[in-house]
Amino acid sequence: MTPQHVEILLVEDNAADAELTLRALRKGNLANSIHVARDGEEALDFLFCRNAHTGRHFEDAPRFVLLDLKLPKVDGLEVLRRVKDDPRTRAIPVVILTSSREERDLVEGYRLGANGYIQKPVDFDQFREIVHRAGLYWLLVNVPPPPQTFLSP
Amino acid sequence: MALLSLVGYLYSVPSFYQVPFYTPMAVNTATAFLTLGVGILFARPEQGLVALLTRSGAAGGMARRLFPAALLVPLVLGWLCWRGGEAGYYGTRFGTALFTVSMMLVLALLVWLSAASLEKTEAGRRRAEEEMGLFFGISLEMLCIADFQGHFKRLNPAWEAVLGWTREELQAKPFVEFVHPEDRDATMREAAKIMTGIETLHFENRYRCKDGSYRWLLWNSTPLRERQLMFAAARDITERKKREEEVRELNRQLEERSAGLEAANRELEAFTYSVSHDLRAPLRQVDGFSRILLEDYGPQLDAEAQRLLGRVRDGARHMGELIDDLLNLSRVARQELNIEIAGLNALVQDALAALKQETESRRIEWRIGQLPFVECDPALMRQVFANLLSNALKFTRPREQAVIEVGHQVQNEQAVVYVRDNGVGFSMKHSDQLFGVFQRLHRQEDFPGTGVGLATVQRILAKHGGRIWAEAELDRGAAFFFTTGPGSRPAALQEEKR
Repeated sequence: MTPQHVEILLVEDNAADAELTLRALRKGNLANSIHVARDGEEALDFLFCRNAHTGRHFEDAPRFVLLDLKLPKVDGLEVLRRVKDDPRTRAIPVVILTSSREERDLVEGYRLGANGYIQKPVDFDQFREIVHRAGLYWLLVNVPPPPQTFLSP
Repeated sequence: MALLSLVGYLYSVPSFYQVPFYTPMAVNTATAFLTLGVGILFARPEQGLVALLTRSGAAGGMARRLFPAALLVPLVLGWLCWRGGEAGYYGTRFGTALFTVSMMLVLALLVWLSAASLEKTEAGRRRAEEEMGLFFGISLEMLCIADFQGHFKRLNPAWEAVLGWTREELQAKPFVEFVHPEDRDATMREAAKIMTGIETLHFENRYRCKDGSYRWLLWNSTPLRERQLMFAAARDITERKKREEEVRELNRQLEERSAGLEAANRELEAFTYSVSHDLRAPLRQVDGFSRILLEDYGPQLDAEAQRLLGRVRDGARHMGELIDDLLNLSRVARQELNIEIAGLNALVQDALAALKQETESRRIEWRIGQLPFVECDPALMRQVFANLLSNALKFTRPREQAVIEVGHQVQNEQAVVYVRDNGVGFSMKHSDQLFGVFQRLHRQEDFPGTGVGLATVQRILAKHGGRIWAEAELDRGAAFFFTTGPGSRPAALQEEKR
């Protein structure tokens, strides 16, 4: 069986936050399919098509990844490093979505090749608005990399 | 032999120069032999009989004086007496008596002169010795002579004063036994070095006192190898060592403390980071789910339930602001200053632009004067103006016409910038609370705020080396004055000249 195509990978350990983010993304029926990874390791398994996600293919990459930084097991920056280090995953847009606005996270995130950095506002209205706009941009405005981008050269 | 021949020629005694078994010697031959003999003796002046003659000092001097006299006086006197007799001035017996008497007189005179000169030399030496002895006795430095077997031979009284031992006690044992056990090896090495003829400077070791304590000594020593002696001068440097040790100890403590501070700073940073990340998430959830509740179940909730949910959301939002402001404050405290020369007027304009939302709908009279250029971190100084102006705007809200004034004056050659408003002011009674974190002088309902803004302003100015103070009167407005530290001086003076 072919696994269902996933448009957005949300990497978020906090269930409540994940629910709020999903709600914001589903507003206006932007995305049909969102996969939630609850820690860094699960996210890497998904992106590198291994373990529980052996059936996936690299060229079937998500349109973008929303990545929290503070994660159990493998933290967000490490996930980012490994994704951007590998030619098969490098082209996947990764947007950091975090409560932190610490400068070192911004610096490190962008240095590792993050495609965007969104700070979650405390105010839910603002949060919903921002996440919705990010979804709009990456799903509707941005032209995604063609599948062969993800094949090993 | 040559001398004999020459005297024979001089006195016309052929038997002197016609020694039996030898052929007679001519005058020139005899002179040559004599010169040669003397030359051979003087060829090695440091050896044999001549050594005494050539030595400097009293003995050499005397030998040099007496030697020619011993040779020449009998020769001349004998010759004179002989020639006098020959010429018929007197008979042979008279001649001999005259020779004897004149010899006695001249020799006695020579002996007397020599004794007098010796006496003078010795008196000088005694005086010098006496002077050295006095110095030896009163010297504050410890002076000593030790033999190559490791015993003190002579010590000055300073030793007794410093170490408490009598000189007899010190001389009774090898000196190394008074040295601190840990310093003995080094001391023996140093002594061995001296014995090979090398002098030593600034050697340090510890000597045991009679009371059992140890004193640090600083040594200069020099050997006298011919006599197998070491001469040394030592100084008690215990106090200096103690001070050095204290300084080292203080340094160590300082290092420890700064390491502790660094650790505390890192911890604070970790704490801030965790606050920044972890405290926001639950807040967003409180806000988010109450919002969702309101949206999804709004119709089922009555007005009171909706009002209460609104309260929940207000609380969450306010706490979010508090966290943001606190993080900003701690960031300001940690951040390093990027000092540039900045025109304060431009910074005020930037701050006002950011407050546009607040200013647009109100009647405000701005009185912004010419402000100086100062050395400061522009981003942080902009924040100072943003906070002060936002306060001024907030507390003038009840006024029909707000008047907000920004200007500067020069005090003690320093630019003092002020932000003045005609707002509700406050009582100076509470002015000491103004700049504390979370300190507020107004009720949240009247004037919302976090109580962190002025604390941040003060922190920024303090980092620049400046300060801030306020003057206010309840219901008559408030004024905040600040200096921006040493950087404001030249610009302020330049401003004054204009």
